[in-house]
Amino acid sequence: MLKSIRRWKYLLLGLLLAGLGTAWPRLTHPTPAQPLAFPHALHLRAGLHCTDCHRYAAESASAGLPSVRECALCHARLRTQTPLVRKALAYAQRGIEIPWRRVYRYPASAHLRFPHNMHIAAGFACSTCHGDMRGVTTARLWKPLNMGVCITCHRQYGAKTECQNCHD
Amino acid sequence: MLNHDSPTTVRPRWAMIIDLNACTGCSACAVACRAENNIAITGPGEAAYNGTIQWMRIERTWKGRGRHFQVENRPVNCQQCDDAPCEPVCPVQATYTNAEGVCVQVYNRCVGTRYCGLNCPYQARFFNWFDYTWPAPMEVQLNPDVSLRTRGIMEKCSFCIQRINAAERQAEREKRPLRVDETQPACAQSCPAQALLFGDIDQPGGRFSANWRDTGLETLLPEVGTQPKVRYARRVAPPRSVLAAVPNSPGAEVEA
Repeated sequence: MLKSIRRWKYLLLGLLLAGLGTAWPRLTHPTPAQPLAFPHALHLRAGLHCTDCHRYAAESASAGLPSVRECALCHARLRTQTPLVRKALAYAQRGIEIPWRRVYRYPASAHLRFPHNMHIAAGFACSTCHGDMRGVTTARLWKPLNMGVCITCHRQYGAKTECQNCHD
Repeated sequence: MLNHDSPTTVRPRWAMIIDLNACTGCSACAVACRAENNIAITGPGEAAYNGTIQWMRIERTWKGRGRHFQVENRPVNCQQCDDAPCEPVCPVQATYTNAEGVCVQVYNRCVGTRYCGLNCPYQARFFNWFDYTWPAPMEVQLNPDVSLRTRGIMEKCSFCIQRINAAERQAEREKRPLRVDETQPACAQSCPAQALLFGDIDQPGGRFSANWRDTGLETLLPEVGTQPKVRYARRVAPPRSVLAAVPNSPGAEVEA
């Protein structure tokens, strides 16, 4: 009797720790609410590619977020009457950007720079870190952003692990 | 030390030769460094307590009297010592010499004990006592490749490691070895007299490595034994006994 209680205790503790472990990135980095529920899935199903909008990913350190004017380029003709598009076009007409909130971010104290272009040049797909966006509306934190994740991958693929390679 | 790079790749060893005869003391290097590396302007209040941040400074000395009066301008940055006194005293290993010989400062590791600054014989390390801000139009010229140091962090010359990294990444993307003339720090780039030469000590057959090896370069405070990788070149007049033996030598009228 006593022995079985003790065993249950450890099982419960293990479950609790496992649950906390999986929930931890979501607790520490909650996905912020966006001003507009941009459907990534719809755009990708329509045949667009990531770099059609995040167009600097292959050439530059930052992937780039498209201006609302770029939304208006296509949506001047396409699906102009759906509520989401009308909301976006209203931003475009007022001449202000949609105040997107950053999902993949680092604290300033990390003193970190992530070059998208190097990772794409090395042959990694966007989904390696950002997950499969074909089933997603607005972006969510698919991979916990901590140094362990970075270093594990850098070691696995023989990339540089010197501090100043990323923290400069 | 963590280094997972392939042992077969030859990494350069960066160094700098500063030509004291060419330097006019114009301070272009100091200004270029400040612009490139987002160095904070600490203001007059801090300056009164010796709290200015200046990765590259000009030290001016006067020599001689009358017509032998001479001014010497010596640009002094972090001397990138091979045997750096700042490194062993850091309790968190926030500063170390990397595989390319650059004594790097890892800002995110630094906890601000300031031991390194106290142990640096060249006063080349600077502490951020406060969070410094840039007045309104000046924040647009901040370099996006360099992080802004926050309060409680030690900083120093990094040989413009962001430029070295950028050049190495470019070479890596183009799948070719790095050319050593591809990168140079902001100070060397801006020097109108080309008094600052930046290069690779180990480059086989290179002009810089030959200069480094063969010319008698002087180090700052050689008695502390830090073996710096920033060295100073100076034209030295031969002693009078030698000059007397050489008729019509061009150096004769200088010393006479």
